[in-house]
Amino acid sequence: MPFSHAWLPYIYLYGVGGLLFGSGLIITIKSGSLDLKRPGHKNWFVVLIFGFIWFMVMHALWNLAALEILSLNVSLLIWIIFMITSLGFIYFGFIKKARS
Amino acid sequence: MEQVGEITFHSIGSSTVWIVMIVYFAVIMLFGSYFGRYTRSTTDFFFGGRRFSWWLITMSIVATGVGSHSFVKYSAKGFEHGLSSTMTYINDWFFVPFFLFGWLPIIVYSKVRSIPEYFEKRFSPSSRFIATILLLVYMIGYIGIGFLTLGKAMIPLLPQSFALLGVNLPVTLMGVITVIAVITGIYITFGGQTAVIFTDLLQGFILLFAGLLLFFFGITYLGGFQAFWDLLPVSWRMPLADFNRPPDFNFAGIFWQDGIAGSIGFLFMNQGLLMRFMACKSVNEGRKAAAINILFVLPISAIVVGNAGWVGKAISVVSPETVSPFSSPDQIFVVVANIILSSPIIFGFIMAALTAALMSTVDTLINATSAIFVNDVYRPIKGLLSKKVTSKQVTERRELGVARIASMGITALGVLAVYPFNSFPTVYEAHGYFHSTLTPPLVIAIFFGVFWKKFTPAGVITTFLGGVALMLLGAKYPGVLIAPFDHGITLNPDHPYTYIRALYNIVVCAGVAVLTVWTTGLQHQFVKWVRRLPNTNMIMTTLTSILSIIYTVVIVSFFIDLGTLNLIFTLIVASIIILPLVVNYYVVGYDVETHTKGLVASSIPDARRFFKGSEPNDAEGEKVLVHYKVIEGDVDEIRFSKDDMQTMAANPGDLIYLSDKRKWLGGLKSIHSVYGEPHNENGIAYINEEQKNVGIFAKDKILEAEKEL
Repeated sequence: MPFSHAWLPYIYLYGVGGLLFGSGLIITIKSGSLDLKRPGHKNWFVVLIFGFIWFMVMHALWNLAALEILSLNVSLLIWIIFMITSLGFIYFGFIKKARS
Repeated sequence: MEQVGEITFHSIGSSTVWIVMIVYFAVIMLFGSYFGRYTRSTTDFFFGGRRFSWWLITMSIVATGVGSHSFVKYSAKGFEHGLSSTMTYINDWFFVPFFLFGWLPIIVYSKVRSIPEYFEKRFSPSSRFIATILLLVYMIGYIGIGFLTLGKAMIPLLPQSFALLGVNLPVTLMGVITVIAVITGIYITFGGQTAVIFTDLLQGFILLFAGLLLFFFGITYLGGFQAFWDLLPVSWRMPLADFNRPPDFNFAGIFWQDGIAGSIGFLFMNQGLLMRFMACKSVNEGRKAAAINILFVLPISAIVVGNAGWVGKAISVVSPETVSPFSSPDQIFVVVANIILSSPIIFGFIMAALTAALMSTVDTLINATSAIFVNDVYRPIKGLLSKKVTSKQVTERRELGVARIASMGITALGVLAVYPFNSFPTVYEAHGYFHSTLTPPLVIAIFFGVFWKKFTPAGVITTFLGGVALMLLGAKYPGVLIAPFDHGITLNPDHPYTYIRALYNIVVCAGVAVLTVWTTGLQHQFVKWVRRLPNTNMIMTTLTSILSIIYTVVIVSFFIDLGTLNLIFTLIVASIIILPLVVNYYVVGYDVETHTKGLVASSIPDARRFFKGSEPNDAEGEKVLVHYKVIEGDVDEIRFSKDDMQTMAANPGDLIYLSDKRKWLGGLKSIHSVYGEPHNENGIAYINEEQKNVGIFAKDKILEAEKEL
C-alpha cells in the first residue's frame, strides 16, 4: 500500500482539519461566544475536544485494521474500550460534576 | 469477451414490491398530514414553532442527511472504491466550534428567518438581493440533485416501456422524475415544517433500521463479517481514499469539496438544515442536536448508505456472474438489495425507505426554498409595491398561500435543474461538482460576516461578483488557474477538477474579500474625493457602466471565446478594484457598530439581549412541574407562584418554555412566553385560552416549565 493511500490522507485530514478546528476554538473563545467561565460552555469545550479525538482514533484504528497492522477484532475492541472510557470520563468528570 | 460500458437494469422486483412501496408511502403521507394540523402560521409552516427537543431534531435530520447524501451515490462509490465512501460522513467535525458558538446562536437570537435576511441586517439590502439569487440557485440545484437521485433509484424497478391505451410509452429518467416531483410537491405544499419534521423523524428511524438490516443480510449472504472483510482488497478496506488518484475519487479533492466547502455549506447555508435547528426549543438544544448527529448518527449513516456498494463489491469478487464488476454504479444499491433480500416484502420496504428518504430531503429543501422566496422575494417586493397595512391574520393567511404556490414553482424548477447534472457519470460526481462550484462565494461571505467584524458591504458584494467572475475564469481555464491547487490530481478533460476546484474557488473568494476589506480606507478616500467633484454623478455612472460591461464580457466569454485569459483576468481585476468604490458610493448609512451588534460572534451577548428584549437572566434555576389553569385575557405571559419562580430563578419579564411533561412528545405540545407577575398557587401555571390552544395542552396532563433566558 503506497504512503499516498496508507497514511498521507490521514495526516492531511487531521493536520489541515486540526488547524481549522483549533482556529475555530481560538476564534470562538477569543470572541467570547464560547465562554469557558460558564459551566455549560466548559462542558461544550470538552465535548468539542472529545469529538476531534473521537474521529481521529476511529480513523487510526480503521487504518491499522485495513493495513493488517492490527487485527480487525483487536481494533474493534480498542475502539469500544476508548468509546466507553471517554464517554464515562465526560459524563462523570464534567457533566455530572457541573450539575452537582 | 471484453466488457464495454456499464450494465444497466430494468423491471427488478415483482408487483408485491410495488404494493409494499405504495402502502409505505401512503402511511408516511398520512403520518405527515396528521402533523400538518399543527401548522397555524408561516412561523409554524417554516420553523415548526421553535419548540422541539434535540433528539427529535437529531432523528429528523437523519432523513434529510441520509437522503441527500443518498444510498444511491454512496453505494456507487462504495462499489467503485470501497469503505472510503464513508469519508464524507466522517469529516464534519472541524467546523463544529464555528457553528455551535458562532452561526447557530446568531441566527436564533437575531430572529432572522433566512440567510439573505441576515445579509441585509449585517450588510445592506443590495447584499441581501445578491445573496438571495445565489442561495436560490444553490437550493434549486440541490433539489435537482435530489430529483436526479430519485429518478436513478426508481428506473431499475421500472420496465423499459409500458403500453397505455394501445400506445407504447418509453420510461425515461425525466418522465419518472416529473411524476415523483408531482407527488413531492403535493405533499410539501399541504404539510409544512411540522409535518416534514415528524415525517422525517419516523423515516430517520426507518432508514437507519433499513440500512443496517440490509448490511446484516449482506454480511450473512457473504458468510459473516470476517469473510466480508477478507474478500475486500486492502485498498477497498481503507477509510480514506488515495491522496490524489483517481480524478473521480481522491482524498485531497474530496477533503476540500466536502470536508471544507460541503461542511460549511451544509452547516452554514443549507436553509433546510438551519430551519431544523431553528425549530429546536433553544440554542442549547440545537447544539445538542448538531453534536449528537455529527458524532454518532453520521458514522452510523455512513454504514447505512454505503454498505450495499461494499457488499456488491465483495459479491463481485467471489461471484462475478451474480454481480458483474461492470454493473452501473448508480444502480448497484437496487441490484444488491434485490439479490440479498429474498423476500419481496423486505425488498419493497427497503426500496420504499430509500425513495422516501430522498423525498424527505427534497421536501425539506422545497420548504426551505419557499421560506427564502416568501421572506426575501415576496415580502420586500410587496413592501415596495403596496403600503396598505393589513391585519396579522390576513397577512399570515396570504403568505401561507404564497408559500404553497412557491413550493409548487420551486418543485418545477428543481425538475429542470436535473438536466445539467445528468451529464455526470454518477450522482456523486454531479453533487461534488455542484458543491465545489456553488458554495464558496456564500460560504466565504457568511463565514467572514460572522467572524470578521471588519467585513463590509463592499467586501461581501465584491466577494459575490468578483469571486464568481474568477470562479468562471477558473472553470474556463482549469489547466492554468486550478492546476496550481490540484495536489497532483490529474486533469480529466471531460470533467476537469470536479472536487479540487473547491479549493481554488475558496481561495479566490477569500482573496477578493480580504483584499477589499484591507483597502477600505483607500475606497473611502476615493469616495470622499469624488463627492467633492462637480461631475460626481457622471463619474459614478461611468464606473457602474464599465462594471456592467466587464461582467457581461466575463459571462459571455465563459460560453464564447472573446479573448485571451490575460485579457479577461485583467478585466476582472479591474472590476474588483472598481466595484468596492461603486458600492461605497451608493451604499450609504453603513455603520460598523450598528450592523454588527448581535450579528457577529463577538457580539452574541447583544444578540441574546435583542432576543429577549432586556438583560438575560443567567441565574441557574431548576425545572418545575405544574398543572395549568386557563384565565381570562389575551396578554402573552404565563404566571407562576412566587415559590415556583424562585425554584426556576426567574423574574417577571424573563422568557419561559412550557411543555407537556411527556418526553416522547419531543416538545410538540409546548409554547414560549414571558413570565408575568407571580401569584400564590404553587404548582399552577396561569395561561390564557390562546396559549392553551397553541400549546395543544391536554387537560390534567402535567406540564414542565423552564426558564429560557
